[in-house]
Amino acid sequence: MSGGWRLRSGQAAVVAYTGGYLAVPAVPGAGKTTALAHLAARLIAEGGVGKGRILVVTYQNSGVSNFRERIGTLLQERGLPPARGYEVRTIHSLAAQILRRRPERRLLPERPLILDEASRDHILRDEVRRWRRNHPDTLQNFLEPRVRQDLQVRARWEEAFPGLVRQIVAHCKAHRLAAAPLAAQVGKLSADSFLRPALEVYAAYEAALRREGALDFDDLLVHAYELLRGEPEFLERLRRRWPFVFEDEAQDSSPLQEELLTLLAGPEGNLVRVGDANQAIMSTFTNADPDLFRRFCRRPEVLVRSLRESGRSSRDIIDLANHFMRWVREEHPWAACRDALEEQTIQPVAPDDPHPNPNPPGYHILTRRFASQSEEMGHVVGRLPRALAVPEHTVAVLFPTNRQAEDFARLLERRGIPYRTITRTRPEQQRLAQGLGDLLDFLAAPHDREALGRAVAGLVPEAGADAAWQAALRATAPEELLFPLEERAGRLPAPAAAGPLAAQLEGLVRRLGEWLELAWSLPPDALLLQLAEELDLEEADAAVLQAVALEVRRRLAREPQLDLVQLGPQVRELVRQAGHVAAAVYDRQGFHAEAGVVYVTTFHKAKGLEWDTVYLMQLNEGDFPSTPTVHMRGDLDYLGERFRPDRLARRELSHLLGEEVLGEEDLTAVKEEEIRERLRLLYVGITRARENLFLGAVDPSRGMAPSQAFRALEESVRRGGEVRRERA
Amino acid sequence: MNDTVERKASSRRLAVGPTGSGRTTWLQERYRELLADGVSSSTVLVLVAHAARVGEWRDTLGEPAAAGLSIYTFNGWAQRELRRHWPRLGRGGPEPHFLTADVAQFLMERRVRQALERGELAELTATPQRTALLLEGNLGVIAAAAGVPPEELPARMAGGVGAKESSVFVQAAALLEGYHAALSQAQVLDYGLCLALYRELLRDPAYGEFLAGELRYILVDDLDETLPLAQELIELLMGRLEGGFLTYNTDGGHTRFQGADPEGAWRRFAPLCAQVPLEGCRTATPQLAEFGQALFRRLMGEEVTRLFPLEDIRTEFRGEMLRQVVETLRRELAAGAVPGELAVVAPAVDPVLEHTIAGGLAREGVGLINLTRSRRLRDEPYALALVSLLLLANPAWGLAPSVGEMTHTFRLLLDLDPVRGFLLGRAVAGSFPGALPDLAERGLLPRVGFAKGEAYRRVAEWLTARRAEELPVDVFCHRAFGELLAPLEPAQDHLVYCRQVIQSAARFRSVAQVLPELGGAPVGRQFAELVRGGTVAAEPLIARPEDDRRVLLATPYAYLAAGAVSRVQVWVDLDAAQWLRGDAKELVNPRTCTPAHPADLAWTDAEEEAVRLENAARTVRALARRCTDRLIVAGSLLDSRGFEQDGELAEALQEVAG
Repeated sequence: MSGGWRLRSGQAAVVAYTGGYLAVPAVPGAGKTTALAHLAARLIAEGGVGKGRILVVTYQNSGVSNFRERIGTLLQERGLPPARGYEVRTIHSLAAQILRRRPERRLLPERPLILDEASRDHILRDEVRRWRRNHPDTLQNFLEPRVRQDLQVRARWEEAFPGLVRQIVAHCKAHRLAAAPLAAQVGKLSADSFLRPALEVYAAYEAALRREGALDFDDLLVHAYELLRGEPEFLERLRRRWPFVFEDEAQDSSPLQEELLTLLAGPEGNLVRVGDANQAIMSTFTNADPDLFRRFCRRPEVLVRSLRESGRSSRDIIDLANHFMRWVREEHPWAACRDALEEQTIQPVAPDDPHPNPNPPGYHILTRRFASQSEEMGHVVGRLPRALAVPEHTVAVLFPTNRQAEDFARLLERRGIPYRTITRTRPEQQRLAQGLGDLLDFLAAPHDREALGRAVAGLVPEAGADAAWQAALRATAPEELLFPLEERAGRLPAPAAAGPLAAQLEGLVRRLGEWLELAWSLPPDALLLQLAEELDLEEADAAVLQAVALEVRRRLAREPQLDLVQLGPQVRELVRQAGHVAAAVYDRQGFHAEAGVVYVTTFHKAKGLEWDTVYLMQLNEGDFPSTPTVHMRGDLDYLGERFRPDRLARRELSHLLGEEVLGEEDLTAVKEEEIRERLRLLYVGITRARENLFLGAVDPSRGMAPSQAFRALEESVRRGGEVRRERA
Repeated sequence: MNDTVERKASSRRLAVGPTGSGRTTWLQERYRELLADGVSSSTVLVLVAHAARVGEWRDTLGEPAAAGLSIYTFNGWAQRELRRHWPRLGRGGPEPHFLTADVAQFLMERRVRQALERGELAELTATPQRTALLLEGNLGVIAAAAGVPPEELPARMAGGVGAKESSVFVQAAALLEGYHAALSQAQVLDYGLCLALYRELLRDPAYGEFLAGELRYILVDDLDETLPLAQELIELLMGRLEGGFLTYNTDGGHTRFQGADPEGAWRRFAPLCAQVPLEGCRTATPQLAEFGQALFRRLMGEEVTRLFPLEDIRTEFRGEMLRQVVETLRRELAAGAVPGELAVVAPAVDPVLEHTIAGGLAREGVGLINLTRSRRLRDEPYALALVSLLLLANPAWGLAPSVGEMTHTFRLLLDLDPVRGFLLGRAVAGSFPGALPDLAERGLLPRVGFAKGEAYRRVAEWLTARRAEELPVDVFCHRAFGELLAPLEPAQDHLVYCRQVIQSAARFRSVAQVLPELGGAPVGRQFAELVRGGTVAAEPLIARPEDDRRVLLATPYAYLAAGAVSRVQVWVDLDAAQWLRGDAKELVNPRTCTPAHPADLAWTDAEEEAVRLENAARTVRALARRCTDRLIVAGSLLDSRGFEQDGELAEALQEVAG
């Protein structure tokens, strides 16, 4: 027990921690946040942190709120102030905080501008465009000769190129490799090396950031780390401020993040790292390294206290997850990938646990094969109404890719089934971007009837179907509608003035006139702030728009003539891509699934979440490959043998730095890494479900094939069902 | 210390006291005593710390007391003296040209951009604008004020950030030196050169004789804010004149980051003068004065022994915090507060903050005055119209006006709604650099309206006529204002900004005539680039904060520099790191840029941390001592970009407030 709470034995062991390095490998649903929160509260209450505070580092904004709420509640129960004795930060907020203390030591301004992903990509794309202007044919020379004249392929390659460069840049920064020294070595690379353009763009991108007085998120970590390494007095002071460092989701840590937190804790310090190596699903597209946490757990000086009990899922689902883990480790067809999952068995909680495992009657796991993707989707759509009808029952449908999720969402829309998508760009952002973008486009081109029509439709959706309004729009010049030269009682001409939406449209037309006056008298950033008030936005939407306004202000300093005409497209992009600030405001309250609505998302985005019923879709070889010979989504076949240019570039980089001998190009290791990660992704999918689990795949007859993992699960489900029936 | 000074110590007094203790009043009383003793006002020199104090002194003293009295900031004094004694310096030319800060920034920024293109300054993460400001506005001034020779700068810059001397510091120092050399050659002076030359003047014994013949007394307010060079002047005068009266604010030293040396001032003058301790606080309640002291002690690491409950606004999002601040201000106004009694103090004023507060107050019919120079002159509609007309009249410059600029301009000139203004603006922008469009030919006349069409035709004719002339830029702006804008009967604010454009243009032209690096392109074109580029800030329109009927918005420094006192202060963004800021910047650390600091000694982290805490402690204490009724504090977990904030000041306040 701890302060009235009943902790499971694994949690109690964690809460008993007194110091040193502690690793807490935790299975899904093990209550690691609870354990860490109790530990923090106990240390604070017992005076274990002195005048310092516990630093809790998490990788998601939802985690920040979660921890703060949990620790605060526990402290209050002990009669202590809820907000003292600890700080909860995302890793990037922590790095920013460190840098703000001594920016001048890194030759940074006192408030360096930290670029959101949208702005970073904006600058990177600008540099790519500049590079391409200086090297007009180079890009196309990477293509296989047979497709060089194919315009569609060229377009796809041009679209993919900046993203690949971004990955190389991120890789370099994660390994603290500065741009200029690398660019100086470009002459040692062959003319057809992909690393060459990547490094040239990297150097230009870095120079551009510096001229902006800006840092991207990777820079934050590099600078914070270098600052701590170079300033021992400063580091010591921070160690006194934070005598305990807790890291959540440690399996998603990158080498630099791990070094940063280890440096903060100090070799004799107190570092608690919680994670689940079996849920490391970020490494193929970020700098996360799943082996880091594994290696940490195996260090001799690190105490390990595992959390194996989980009350999230039913026994059957737990058994399936454990079976899957064993199959991977013992039977996976590609032996090199058998280490994808750690030997980590999920145990159900004790029967008298206050939060026991769900225990639905019967066996609630199904697998099924379909002739096509559309058949699979149609089948699931058909089953959803019944699932939604169960009171207080939550439902999710998970896909391997965003596009599949979006297709499914459109299908639900057509069938009138209530749903919510969990995508990178949140629905709120999409709505804000679209509505605001349309309004700004109109304000920038007030003479344009179509722009006026879209702006009105964005604010009064029914106007699109109002014949009288549409006729008025066609017949009346915008200036006459908005600012009639002759005085008249209303703005709308007959018959729109008598239509069902007349009052609403009349008011809107007048407001549009007022907003036009604002738009053509205020600077662009001030206009956005004013519109945030005029549109009476929700607090979170207003916060996003405020951040966008600050970014526009920054762009104004660079492009003083930036005006309304350029504003609309830029604001759309900024709102859609406002990753950091959107995560900070929209995700802060955490995720609480609601009954009566279907959640549609990807496996990746589902991590950390849970629902009563989960549908895992499209478990095919293409997305869950079994061997390196299978074509994978990230393969750029149009590049021929160098279908993974980013990986090849990394190997070339290692060779350039003298760390690796560049032999025959062998992408097997790259593919094996992806296979491992997809296996973990599937494990994550399975462990999202509490009671009911559905697994679907498409039959080989149509060119796709169910993955080997699916087949193994299918077999297990068949036997599990038999076991269940026998048990019954 | 020389014997002459020692002998005269009894006629030298130094009033020492914290904020609100009446130091300025004491000094003004000393002046009145001098007048009563028959001393002529023209033989008294008064030095004040900020330009705003000059007018305040004159207003307080009134006539005839202020008649003939020389009241200057040290900058103003140095400029005056350089003009008067220019021949003595043997630099050639009848007189120097003084650069305004904006033009100085513009010139240095160009050099910085050129350096960046050469691959220099690669290690810096800074906009060219910031680098220019650090070099020209900070380093150049601080080094000149302290008498640091240029060859020592790279080592001192490196030491200032605890780094080894590297190419970036050498390049930056060389940039500054090259810039000053070019200006010097043309007898053009920025503030740094002004100080360097004034130092030369001070070294001239004949100049000292001259001053001793002209003056009898020196009065200096806020000695703690004086530069080392100003202290040299004061020390010279204290030794040569009949007497001197000085004040020292024990809460002060807020301009160290600009080179002020309060410790040096104390070391120089405390032994020379009879000290007059001033106590009490006339600008705060005893409770707030005590609170300020308690917060000071807490930030300096002492224990909190007494609690001072405060009204506290705490939110998650910054926007929500600002809305609650607006509600608080509304509540105060509804309870009878006069707007000028209320002040919002923020460590940095950004558009979100200003817009939210201003918008909220505007709905109550109350204005907000922002003391921070954050608006661009090009955002002022009349200013933008003048510059846009300049571009239209000079197509040969190749600076195409944007559709936005043309829409703004013609809306203003012809009083057009936004749609018709856009139609016209687009047509005009599209026709550039050719002749202005004929509206009838473009089919725009029915859409714009015939009356407006006629008005447009007159403007077009006016511009066509100007295209045939080659008017100097300031002359053109003057004519454009007089013939096109003045008939619109602009409000007072707009008139001020038009005047600012015309005066800036005139000053720019006079400097361009002597400075070769401005000779490459037409002067008017460069001026237009200067304004369009956003370099020129719109001057804040305020004379004295206490007379204003608007709520005040300011950073702590701007608030204290303005000498503001408020009945209610609201400190916002309490969790922001900027409340605790050190003096060291990436290219300049005033603590190492002084002969008193060994050139090769690195500034340590412990020293900078001490400075950070001490700066914050002094600032909040001084602010609290300028509040006569209540203090309200507000903070948010997240800043406007979604990052969690530090909360150091908030933590300290929490302990003090209980």
